[in-house]
Amino acid sequence: MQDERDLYRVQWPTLRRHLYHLCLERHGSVLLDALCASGTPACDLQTAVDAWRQSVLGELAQRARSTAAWPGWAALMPLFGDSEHLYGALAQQADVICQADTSDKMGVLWNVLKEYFTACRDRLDGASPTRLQVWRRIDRIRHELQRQRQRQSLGECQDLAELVAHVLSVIEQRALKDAPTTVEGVLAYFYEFDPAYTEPYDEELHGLEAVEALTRSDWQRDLERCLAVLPADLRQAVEVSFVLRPQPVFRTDEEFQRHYGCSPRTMRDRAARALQRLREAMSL
Amino acid sequence: MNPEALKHLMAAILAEQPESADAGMALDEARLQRALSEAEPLSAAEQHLLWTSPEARRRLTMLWDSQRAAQYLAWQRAGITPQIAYLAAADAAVQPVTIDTHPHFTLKLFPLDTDGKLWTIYCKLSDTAHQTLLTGIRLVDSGGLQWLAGPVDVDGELSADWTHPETPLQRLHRYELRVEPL
Repeated sequence: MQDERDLYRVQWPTLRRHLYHLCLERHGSVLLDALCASGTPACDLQTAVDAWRQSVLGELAQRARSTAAWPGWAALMPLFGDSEHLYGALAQQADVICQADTSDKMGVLWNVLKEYFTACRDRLDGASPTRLQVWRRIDRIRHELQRQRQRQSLGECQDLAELVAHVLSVIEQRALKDAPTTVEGVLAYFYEFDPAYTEPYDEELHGLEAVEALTRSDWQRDLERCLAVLPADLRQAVEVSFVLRPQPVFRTDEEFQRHYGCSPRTMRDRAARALQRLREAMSL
Repeated sequence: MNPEALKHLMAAILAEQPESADAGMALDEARLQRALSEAEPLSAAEQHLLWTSPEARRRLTMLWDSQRAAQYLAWQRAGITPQIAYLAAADAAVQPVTIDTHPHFTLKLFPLDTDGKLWTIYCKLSDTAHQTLLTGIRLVDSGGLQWLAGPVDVDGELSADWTHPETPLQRLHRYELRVEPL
């Protein structure tokens, strides 16, 4: 059984990915439509938030109840517990969310929710404040390395493993107090705090290379084959949502609708349906 | 289709897979470790399990990151840098090339035809680099092309045929080379 500390720290990117999926992809339209009813923030924000939260928690409870349920589902539920903080965070950013470009709305909303969930997680597991301080020192070491590489015209170091090795050797040289002393220890900090892992799917994206190294699957060809047989509207939704081909940028929902013949919400729903179909169709 | 965007789509599809507490248990750390070291490659059923179990993939990613970081650390401690400095001339002739600018990795490029379309790439590690090896290695250029990849043999050598439309010399005129843990 995984303990909560492991779930809230080492597996935080996974929890965050599921939060994104549930809060935005599955139920986000409920919140966005209520939050920005006519392009401006709704007066009764609490009712909108409560309805959305209830639908997310309902689905979470169902997942957590099943036999051999993944313990992460249960660990996600308390993250919705701090109502006042959630109302406050959304109220403060409601204008920004509602005024964002159509294609950016979900991203802006996610940034607000992500910050709320992270703060809630820290309160729940009683995170030691030194953890954040240690991360700031690790981050400084990372920036020093990037500046040094820039001076040597080497380009930014994008290999997480190389970065971790460098951080660890600096920690050893400077004998930094409270800092991790193993590669696994330093890696745990990157998984937990590094902005590179805060976007949805980044965890799977990062792991793809490792899976490719151990398997002989030609997933690109398989995926393109499955894409080709999707109904045209679902295929278009995937192409737009994942920018598989260059797409225009729209300032308003109306412009979006005029160009694609459907609302951003419909496009998102279609993309979600398409993902499910692709998952079922692929012969991984 | 944009290959990077395709990767994002694949990641989103994988992220859609259901989580289950028990799924992927067969691929424990020890089993994945044996597969990473190429001592015992994954069977077809195990490969399928890896593609379908988020839990198994998480375990593999952590192991993969740790192992590669440990290799970089071992190189740092031995004073081995991953970059190989070499820049080919734009009009380099089709003939064998030896790149011995790095104290620990020597590369040899052998043309197999007079047009310079077919090549064999060969990499020899110094004793120090060979002794510090924890994983396989790969040779990549700064344009993202992989030249060589795999475990190094008992003599500290690794080789492969060139399969890219551009010649290695054309690549070396534009890009730099580096060695990475596999």
